[in-house]
Amino acid sequence: MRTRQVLLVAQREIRQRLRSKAFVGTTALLAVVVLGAAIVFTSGVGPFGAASATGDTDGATTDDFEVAVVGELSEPARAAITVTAGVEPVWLEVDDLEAARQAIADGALFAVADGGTRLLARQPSGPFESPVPFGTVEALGVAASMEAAGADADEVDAALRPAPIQIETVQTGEGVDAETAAGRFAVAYAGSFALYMALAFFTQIVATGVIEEKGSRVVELMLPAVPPRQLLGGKLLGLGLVGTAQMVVIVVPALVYVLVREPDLLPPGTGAALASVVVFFALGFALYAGVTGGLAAMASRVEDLQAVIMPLWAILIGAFMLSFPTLNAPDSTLAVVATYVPFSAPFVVPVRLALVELPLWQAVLSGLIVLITAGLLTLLAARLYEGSILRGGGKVGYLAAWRGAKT
Amino acid sequence: MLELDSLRRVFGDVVALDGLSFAVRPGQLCGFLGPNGSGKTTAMRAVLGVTRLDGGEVRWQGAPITAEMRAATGYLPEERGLYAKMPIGEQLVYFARLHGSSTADANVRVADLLDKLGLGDRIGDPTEKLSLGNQQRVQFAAALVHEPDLLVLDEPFSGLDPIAVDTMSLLLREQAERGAAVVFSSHQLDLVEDLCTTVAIVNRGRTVLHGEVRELKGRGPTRLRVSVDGDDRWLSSVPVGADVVGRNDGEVTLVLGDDVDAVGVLQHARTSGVVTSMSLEQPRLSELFRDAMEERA
Repeated sequence: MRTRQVLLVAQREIRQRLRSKAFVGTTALLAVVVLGAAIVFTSGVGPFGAASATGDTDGATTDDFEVAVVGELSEPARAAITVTAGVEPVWLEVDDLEAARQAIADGALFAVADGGTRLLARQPSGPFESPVPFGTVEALGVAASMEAAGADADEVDAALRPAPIQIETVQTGEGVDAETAAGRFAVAYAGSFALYMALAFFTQIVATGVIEEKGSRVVELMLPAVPPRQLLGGKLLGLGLVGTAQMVVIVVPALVYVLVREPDLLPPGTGAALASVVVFFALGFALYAGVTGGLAAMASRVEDLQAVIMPLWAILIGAFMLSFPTLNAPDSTLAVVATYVPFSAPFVVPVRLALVELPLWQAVLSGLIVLITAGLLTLLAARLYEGSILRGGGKVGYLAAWRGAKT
Repeated sequence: MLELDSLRRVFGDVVALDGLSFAVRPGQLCGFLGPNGSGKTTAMRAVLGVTRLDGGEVRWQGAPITAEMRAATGYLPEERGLYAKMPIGEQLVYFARLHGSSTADANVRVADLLDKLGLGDRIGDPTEKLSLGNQQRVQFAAALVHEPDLLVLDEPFSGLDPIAVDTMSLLLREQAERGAAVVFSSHQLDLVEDLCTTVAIVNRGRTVLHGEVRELKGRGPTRLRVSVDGDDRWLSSVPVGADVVGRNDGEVTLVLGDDVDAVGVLQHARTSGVVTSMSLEQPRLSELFRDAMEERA
């Protein structure tokens, strides 16, 4: 091994990245965005924040609101609407449907007509919103039945009012701990997404770096001094270090902020999960970028690049997709198997570490599998690289690249 | 000494190298000549180990050339290439260090070389900001920045203006004087004749002529140019072995065989009138080159 040459090549790659204003700027921007997200997260406004714990996000319970009534509406029906909303609305008695529509346009939440069998509502604000407060329709139905059976408004109110029932979770050692679920999901989501973005970005950089050297022919000048494997190895080492450092730079300010401001907010295992994101970035990079380097050398121009690295990218995207079922069921068979499949492990292990108490040995075993696979695949890729890096004039086939080593 | 011994390389049906051999001693500047497609680039790439050989051997100082020696060799590939966005100074230091120089040495040499090439004030500019001619100078500098013992340059002078050619010729001469073995290919035969101590002329993958320029020229047929103030009658009685190869404005050019005495030919000329000018010339390298190609054909 010509360590000196490998280190020089790695050093050049690092300097080249750090010299790029686009790279430094993007990194700084991402760090700011992540820090911003952490600030939002700790202030309790976000989807995982403290506000969501109260459960009432309908918006109908907080302030006075108006309900327009066309014609007669029985007291039990009014009681049903009041119970569902949690507070009695201001009843706007209007003459006809046209007036009801106008009332809604003027701010009424909805209108009731035909004695409670017809509702008019404004358009919901989003695709998942209900036009009327959740449960209103069911409550009106119950009220009508009870009224037919002779019940009065108080009885309807009593029947519809939620019983004081508490839900207690039993710790079985499986599934996601409910107390810290929000934080754990946040860490798992953010971790796997960041990992995917970083891997996609840096394998792309490796691919373009290889093709630039090949396309500009500078590689012929380099090869007598630095053999192909060392050239590829130095490139991978340099870009891997830059990538890892970039991940740290992006994650650490936000982490420090959260630790200082709200140390209790972070679920247990966050540290391990974040550390695993960095470790599995390095491993995933070795796995995907090494192969990318070999494949990229088989192209001759940037235009050919997509075609030669597409199979690998399909695997990368598929492996990332596996982190979604894992998020839903971190202890499922699929998640366990994916932990030990080298291509999916980098995405699945940090997610599982964040969500459940994954034994350390499982994470380490998974990491070793990735590492060994990465080593073997990079050796194969290096041969493809060696066999095709000096061949121009179009795409080099796998067989030609394999046989062409030392041509 | 660099020795290319019976190099053979076949690409499919094409025999690129067919027993090509020649040698370059330290301190020698060797011009590597041959028509397009005669195997020059393949031979140079074989020296650098960039292409493999089907037969024959490249030796340095009597032993098969090692990867370490190749790594220390200065190389200018046929297809030029530099890192487009990297400043040229930093790039040259990088190449020097890859070839084994220390950072301090590399810095000094890069500054010195760029000054000599007239690019001293561009040291911080990225390659892509330089004109093609200037990029070519940087490429040239990349080959000799680490002061190699062996320099292999593929067409170093192609596409350069006469000033740049002079500068680079001077630099190459310095390298040879320093003790490096230098071999470069070129189609500029007059330049090679002026610059090189030895030449190797190849055709179809084989060496057709190899040796010291002076000695090869001495071996070639001498040319006599004569202008006579009178008629051409004397030409009908020139000795056997002297052939008229050209007439231009009253000047006659004859190629003299090895055993023909130039003074005897002149005496014949005087029978027709006064000899107004005469010169005895050794063949030009370009003539040797054409002769060699014709013999082969």
